[in-house]
Amino acid sequence: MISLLQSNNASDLKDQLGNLSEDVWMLAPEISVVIALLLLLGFDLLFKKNKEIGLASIAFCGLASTFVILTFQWTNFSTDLMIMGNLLRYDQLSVFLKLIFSLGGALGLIIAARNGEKNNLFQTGESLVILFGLFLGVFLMTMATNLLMIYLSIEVVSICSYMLTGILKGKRKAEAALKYLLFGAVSSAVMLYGISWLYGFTGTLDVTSQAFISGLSEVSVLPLTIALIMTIGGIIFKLGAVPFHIWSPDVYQAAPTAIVSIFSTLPKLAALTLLFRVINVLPAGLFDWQLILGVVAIASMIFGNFSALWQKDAKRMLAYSSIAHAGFLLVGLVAYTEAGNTSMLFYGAMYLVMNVGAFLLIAILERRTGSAAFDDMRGLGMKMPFLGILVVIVMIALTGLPPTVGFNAKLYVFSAIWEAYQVQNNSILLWVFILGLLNTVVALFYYLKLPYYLFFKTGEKTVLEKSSIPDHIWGTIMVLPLLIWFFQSEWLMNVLNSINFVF
Amino acid sequence: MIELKDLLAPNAFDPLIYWILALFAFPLLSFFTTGLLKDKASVWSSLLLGINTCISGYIAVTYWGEMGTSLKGTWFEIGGTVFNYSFLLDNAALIMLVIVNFISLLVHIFSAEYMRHDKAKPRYYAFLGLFTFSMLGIVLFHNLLFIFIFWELVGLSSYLLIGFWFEKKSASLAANKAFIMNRIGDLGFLTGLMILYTQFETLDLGAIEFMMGESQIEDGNWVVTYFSNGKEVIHVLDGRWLSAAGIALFCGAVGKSAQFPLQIWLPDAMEGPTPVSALIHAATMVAAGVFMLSRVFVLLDAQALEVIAIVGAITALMAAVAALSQFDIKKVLAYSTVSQLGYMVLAMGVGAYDAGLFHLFTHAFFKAGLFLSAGIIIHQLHGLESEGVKFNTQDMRVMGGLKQHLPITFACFVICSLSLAGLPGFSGFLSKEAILINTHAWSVEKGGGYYLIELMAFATVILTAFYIMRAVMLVFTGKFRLPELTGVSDIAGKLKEGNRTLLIPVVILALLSLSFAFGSTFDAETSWLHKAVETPSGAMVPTKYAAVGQAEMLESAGADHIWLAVVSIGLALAGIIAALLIYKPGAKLAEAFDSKREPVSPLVQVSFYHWYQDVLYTKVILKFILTQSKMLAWFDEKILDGCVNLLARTQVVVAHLTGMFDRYIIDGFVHLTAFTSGKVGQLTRSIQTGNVQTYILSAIAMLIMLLLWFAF
Repeated sequence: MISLLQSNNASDLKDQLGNLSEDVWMLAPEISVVIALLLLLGFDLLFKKNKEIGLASIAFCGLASTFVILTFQWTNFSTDLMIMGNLLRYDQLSVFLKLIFSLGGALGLIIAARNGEKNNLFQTGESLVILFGLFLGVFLMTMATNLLMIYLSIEVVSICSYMLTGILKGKRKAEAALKYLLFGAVSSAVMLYGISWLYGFTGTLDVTSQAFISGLSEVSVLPLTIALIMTIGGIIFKLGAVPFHIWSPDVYQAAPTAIVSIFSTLPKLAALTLLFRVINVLPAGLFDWQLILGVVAIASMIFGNFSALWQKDAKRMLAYSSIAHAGFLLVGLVAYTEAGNTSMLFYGAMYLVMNVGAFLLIAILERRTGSAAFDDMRGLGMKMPFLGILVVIVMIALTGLPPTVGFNAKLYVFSAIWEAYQVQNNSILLWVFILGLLNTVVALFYYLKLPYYLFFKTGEKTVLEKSSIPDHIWGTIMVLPLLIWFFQSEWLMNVLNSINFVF
Repeated sequence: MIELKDLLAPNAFDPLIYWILALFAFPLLSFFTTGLLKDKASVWSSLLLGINTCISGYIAVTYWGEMGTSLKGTWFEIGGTVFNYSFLLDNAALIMLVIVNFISLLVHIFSAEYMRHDKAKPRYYAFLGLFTFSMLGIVLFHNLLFIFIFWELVGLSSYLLIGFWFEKKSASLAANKAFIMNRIGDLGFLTGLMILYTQFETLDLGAIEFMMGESQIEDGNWVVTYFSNGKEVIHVLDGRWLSAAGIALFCGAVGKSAQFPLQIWLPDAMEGPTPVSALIHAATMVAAGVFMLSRVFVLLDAQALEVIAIVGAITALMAAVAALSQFDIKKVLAYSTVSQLGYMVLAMGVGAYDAGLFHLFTHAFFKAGLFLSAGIIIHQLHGLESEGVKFNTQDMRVMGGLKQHLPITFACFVICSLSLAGLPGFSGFLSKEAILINTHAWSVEKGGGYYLIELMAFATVILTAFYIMRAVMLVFTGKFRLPELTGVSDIAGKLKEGNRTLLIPVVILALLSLSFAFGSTFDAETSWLHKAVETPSGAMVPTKYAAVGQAEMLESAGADHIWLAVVSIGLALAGIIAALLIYKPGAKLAEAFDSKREPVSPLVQVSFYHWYQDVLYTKVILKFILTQSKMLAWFDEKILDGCVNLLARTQVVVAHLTGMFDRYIIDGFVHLTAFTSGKVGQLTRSIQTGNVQTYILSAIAMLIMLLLWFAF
């Protein structure tokens, strides 16, 4: 938009508009999401009763068409492009992320659909419309290369998240939504303040432009550090890492499980991508971002894991675990090597699968007992052995033990950081490596708490609903890949290796 | 230099393999299917064996020739080591093939009548099928590993058939004895295989023979050099291992072919059905040892051959003496078999490969004939038994004068006996003559004490003629002693000649015991069968250890040919005449025979108890082993178990100590860690008060802390 404003010549404007219309094809997935959003809105207004099937089919068809378009873009990808007047970047990374986002979104919707009568997202169109707004936001986040675009996309995601947290009635939910909103407002204020400093230094918002880089080089270290830390802080808020992590346990506990499964994955990975893009354009030696992100990663892992030890509620425990996972995701980024990038992306994709699987299973258990508290899950594993075993597998995967793909993910990430340490000799990398591994051990204790309660404790609580065959099927569909990819991780690694990370 | 892989490489596809597979398939089919049939078992398995005999006849005619036809293929590969299979169809194998199938067929037919009333008939025929299958394996394979496998299978089927009437205590004991004695011999065989494998890295006989020719003796060491998988290997063993390998392989033959000192199982093996004795313990299986020796003949050095010759001569004489005083007709024939096997082994030992094999072939016919004739007698006498009248049907003391009752059997028995005694005009004469000539030539060559071997061989001639003629006289002449012994006078009238099923096989075998069957009357050299098997000229053994060639020896002793024949015929005749005179009807010994009991005179006892060998084994060796095992058991119980228990007790004490260490030190550390983690967790989650102001405050505080840290 800045570049748009800068062109005051009429013929230039014409060219620009011509280019924009050419860029529309690149934005086809976003357009598909928007069309689905509009259809949902219209359908919701036109029909009064029994809207579930219509809404569900529009939502799934929308995601499916997005997925198809993205697949098409992936297979026909030719070259990286800056589009919409350098606001967005169209590259393999963004297409890949959008692919797994649309997949993750669909899985989240499946959890919602499996949720039965209570808290059903499909009863009214509102929550779905907002959810699609969130999809649009995360899609844009993966592509944004302009500070303004970065801010806007984060805000789109944030505002949708606030609303989704509070959209269902309940005191707890309203409280969580309000906390979220207030906290989010502060973080975005901090970020915006940082961005304003950067604009002041360089006179441009386009982080890829030469002016931005040369402008930064002229600034002295102290103001630059302040500006960058504040800007990155806003992104970290979406990533859910220390110090902007505090909102997540309350929000995760209050929001519907299906929504949480999306909250805990899509915005996190999108924020990670943003961080990745910002870091990659920074001139080398200007600013020791590896140290900052290393500290953030270590702090997130320690905060997340150790706090999770004390939780009595499965969803709250997973909230803390997602803070810790934000730390693990940053490990790959901190390595700052080709292998680090690939392993980070691998970890991200696997984290999405594992987490959505975990939330699906917790949603199923929640439906049986009425709550996600550990105490209510005593002895459920003996009553529903199949689901119990699936829970065990997912928890092992989240811990990062064989024979699940969680092990491969952690292995790749930590091998990457170890190799990076041997090349770069930066002591923060070693600390990240050592403390990260120690944290994996700590994680074992709380992840296995759920299986422990399911199988080794006995409880009198009666099961509200019999476990159904579709539950088993969906559970298997989510969990089986975790086992299969443990043996066949090369397949995904080959796909990831084909992604060009160079800017 | 030769590459081992090339020696073992499979040759081009030959349809012959189908014929060989068929040869194996029919007896095996018989083994698996006859058990399912009841009364038709004999017909079905005879039919299958008939087909097999036809096939073997066809193959023998087709592949009859100077050179053997060989077939090779890869069985499996482990790493770079190839295990191959190979067949060799030379003349010896072809003759054996026909003999095994043919005699087996005759025995099948004979058994149809002999075993008619036995309930376990299907099992009997199944075992016969298994035996034929295994025997063909030994004959056809040309790889020592396979020969060993089938060797063991033959041992198994022999065990099963000796103990066929296992409800009889003596039968099952005899089966055990045979099995154990054979195992002792097989231990030697296995040792031989190991020595050969160490040196050659293969057990394929063709390859071994080739490499044996390449091997040399250097400084008393046995050296062989070849390429294995492209790498040059040099195997060096002390030269004595070569002799050891030969003797060890011969040990296998000692067990299977009932040679001294393991021969004691064969007389006991007569507990089995008589047709089985004819097939397995006279014609085929016991000859397998000799056949195996012929297969490894080229690997035997002078020393091994000497041992073989001495053992053969001792066995021949010992068994001939033992046969002199037996009452049981089958025992006489059994000792006679041992004695004749001794001849064959002696022939191998003196380097007369051709004579040994020739005697194997002729012996197969006349000895099977003798056994089947005895089988007829036993079967017919068995028919006389009734509720009140029980007697030992194999005891010659109940026989006598059977010439009138069983004329055809008598004729056949006499023909086969004369063949055994070695009179001109009968097949036995030809082969025995060849052995004697070769033994003489060998003794002349060696000189000194080796004349003793020749002496033993000739002594056996007269003994053989005597004991077999004694049996003829006691069984067929004089008066029928049974009516007197049982007190039933009309019992003699019931004794009839055997029916056609019994007689036809015996007549065929008797005809084949005449020398014209082998195309010559007086000289073995002119016989087609003798010509077919030629002694391998130029042994593969390195010259330093090689024995003197048969041809040179014969040349030097060639002049003695005629008088040797005269002496041997004279000895045989002397034996026969002595027996005729002593046991003629009316003579003192013949008259008193029915009241004869176990001998008291020490000399006769030596013969009757077969040189006390059994007693020696039971009283000395067995006792020694039992004492040893008792001592070992004591050692095991007191010393070893004591040590183990002490160790266990010590471990329990140590376990208690480590348990304490674990509880207080390790667990203490773990509890400390858990406690610390918990405290850290409480600290980190203390931000989460639920108060949003605190949230924001702490976040901003942390951000500022970060800023301060990085800025300064």
